[in-house]
Amino acid sequence: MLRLIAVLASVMVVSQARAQDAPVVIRGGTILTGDGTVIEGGDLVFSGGKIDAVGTDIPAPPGASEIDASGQFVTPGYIDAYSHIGLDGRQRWTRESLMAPSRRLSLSLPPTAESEWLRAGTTTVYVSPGAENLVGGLGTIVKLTGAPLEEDAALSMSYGETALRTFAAPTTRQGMVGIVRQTLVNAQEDGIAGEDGRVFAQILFESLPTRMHVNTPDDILTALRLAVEFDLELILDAAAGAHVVAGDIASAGVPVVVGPTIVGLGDGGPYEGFAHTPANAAILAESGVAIAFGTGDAGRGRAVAMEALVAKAHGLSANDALVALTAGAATILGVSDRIGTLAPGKDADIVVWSEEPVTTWAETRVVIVDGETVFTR
Amino acid sequence: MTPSRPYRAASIALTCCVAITTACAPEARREESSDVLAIVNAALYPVSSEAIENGTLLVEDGRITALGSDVDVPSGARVIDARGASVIPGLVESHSHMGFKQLNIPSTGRNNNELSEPINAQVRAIDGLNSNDAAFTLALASGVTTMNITTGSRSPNSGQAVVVKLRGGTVSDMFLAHGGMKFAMRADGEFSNFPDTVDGVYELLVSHLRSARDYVEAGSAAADSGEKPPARDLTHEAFAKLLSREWVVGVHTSDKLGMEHAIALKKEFGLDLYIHHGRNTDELVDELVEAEVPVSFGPILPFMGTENPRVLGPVRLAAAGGVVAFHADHPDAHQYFLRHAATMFVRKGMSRSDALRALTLNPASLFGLDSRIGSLEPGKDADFVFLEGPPLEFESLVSRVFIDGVEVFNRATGDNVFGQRVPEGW
Repeated sequence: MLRLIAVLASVMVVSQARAQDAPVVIRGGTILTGDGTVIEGGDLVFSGGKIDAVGTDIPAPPGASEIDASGQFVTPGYIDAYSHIGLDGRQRWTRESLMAPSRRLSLSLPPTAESEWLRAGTTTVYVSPGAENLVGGLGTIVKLTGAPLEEDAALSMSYGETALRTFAAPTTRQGMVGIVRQTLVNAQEDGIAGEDGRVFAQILFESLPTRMHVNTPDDILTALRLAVEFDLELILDAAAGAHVVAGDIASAGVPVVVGPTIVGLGDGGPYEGFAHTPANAAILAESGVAIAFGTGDAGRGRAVAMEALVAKAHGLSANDALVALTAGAATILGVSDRIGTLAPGKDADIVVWSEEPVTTWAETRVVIVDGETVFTR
Repeated sequence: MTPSRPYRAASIALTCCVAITTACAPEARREESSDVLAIVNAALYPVSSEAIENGTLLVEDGRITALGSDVDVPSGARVIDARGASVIPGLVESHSHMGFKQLNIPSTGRNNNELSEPINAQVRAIDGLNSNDAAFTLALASGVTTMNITTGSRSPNSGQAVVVKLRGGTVSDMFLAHGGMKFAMRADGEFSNFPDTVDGVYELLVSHLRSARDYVEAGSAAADSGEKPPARDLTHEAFAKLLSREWVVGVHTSDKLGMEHAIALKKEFGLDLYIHHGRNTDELVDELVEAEVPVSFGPILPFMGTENPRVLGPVRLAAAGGVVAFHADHPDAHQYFLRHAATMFVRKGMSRSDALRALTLNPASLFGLDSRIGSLEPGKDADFVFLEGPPLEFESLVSRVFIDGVEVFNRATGDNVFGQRVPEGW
């Protein structure tokens, strides 16, 4: 019996490897490459998990299978650039310390076949520590199949209602920022030992991005001040109210991961509700700020596509919306060498859509990650 | 933004008139009746009948007087050209905590639940509601014109709800109808004087309904015999109004057991009862149809994704002839995304007209208000919403909202009857 299982397993591995290696042509769809290019009646060829060719009238390589995409639309897999996907409550944040810079996340993603995110066209996620801790730890970038992309992707910080409600002290926003400032000064002067000190050194002296989860215009300006003072490579998360200070954000060259805009206002969060508008992304893009979208989702299967759709309904162009879901997000996350566009050499993370993407009725038809078809409707 | 004083004044004047119709001076009524509003060139979605591609809607005295593709506009009417817009009935939110947990004021989070006792039948939402909650303006921007505002769900019976129209002013100005009673099949083990299981909650509610029955019977017997009736008890009186079906009861339940208990309550006591939340509707479609228990499903976004299998529950219930409403449950879900959430059910097979009905006429029917609001029909209240495109599309933003024939929200100007600032972009 054991022997039989072993044999079966090896057969499965071989057949999977074959399926992945053999070329596949997605034929005749409208291809939106993710960086703004549109190819009508386009063909896309991939094999071995990578994209080989994108264009028109591409002859089928020997042994290729075909996916008919005529009348349909082809995009890169979408990127949810701020989520807590795969984290349970205990993983998301830690009670033990207000600041846990070297904390790493351990994800438990649903099986590929059951992933509501994959079915909805999201293929890669940035998983952030929760906003409960002032310094929550290291965020990570993974595909929803579980394949890692970048383990230590950024250091996550947060100040605002969520952190204020979670810890008894400090009791104020200004108190929290005071602690951050003193900590970074200590780190600059080698005052912090061990792993924590190493992580702070990476944001201060190396290229590890600092992501700050903030939700009012004034909190965002505080983040921009900290970034200047400590020469941080800053990315703003959530950023309700960013539209009010879009010019400042643009001048600082700081990208924003917008959302979630589709929210509940919660028991204690409504204070920040005044700053919340679905026009945030459109106003930021108009001001020249690089944007991506995040759901902030942990386990509800929410589609980042819907965040982009709300933004588009409120003034973001269709092209900007798609770029923010794909190439723009990949650039902000620092993984544009691998994902975000449909181009030769990039990972074969591809979605075929029933109709024009980022519209109310667009639905996934086929979802492919690393050349494997993970969902067909 | 300037608060739209004239609108508000008009709205309040009209409200008084509606509330005390019989007391209105005949002359005042004649004067108002000369003020006809005509919406022309609109794509009308009456909900109760087929859509009209290029229609006219006439409003007089706060009521719809006519609609159709072949309606003459009376001379002297005030005409609004709605070319390019859809006009739908104002959305009816069947389950909200607006005015309790207030936008921008975190300390109000605890206003929602009276938690000193498990049974709070004498507690009335109208007595605690703050009409100045900034969220009402956002609700108008979402196309909501009527709302059932209910107290929280953390006690088995949190009290009496109130149905309001979002026409500005005080709670009295907004008042439309009693919203019935709220039960919650929920046991968190948080309070020692509360039942610690859902079964225990059910038993507690059953015992109160039985006591109310005894109370009513004792009262009748006393009246017959001329003896002194039992001492007045507001809790018994409230439960008695459920037994007589004068009030509806909405049962908060999110799991199968709770839903089964709700169905059992309806059967045992003949209540006018609906379920709100009803996450497990997919498992009980036949039972709900058989017992004629409507479900107000929600909150949907952001709690469920498009691929969530629970979305199929309302789709199947509607297909089986059951009554489905959708709700946002502000502030758990943001009111604005309720209309968007309806698209999730259409993707899974619900007809667009059923989805629109679940936002309008069906929630109105939960409170017996479907003869007055929830669709565009002659004789009904002139509560309607202009959308920039087809009713359910995300891209179709709410541009104007009317209640009782009076404009209460205008997206282009930001004017709204609550006089609150509308954040940029809504």
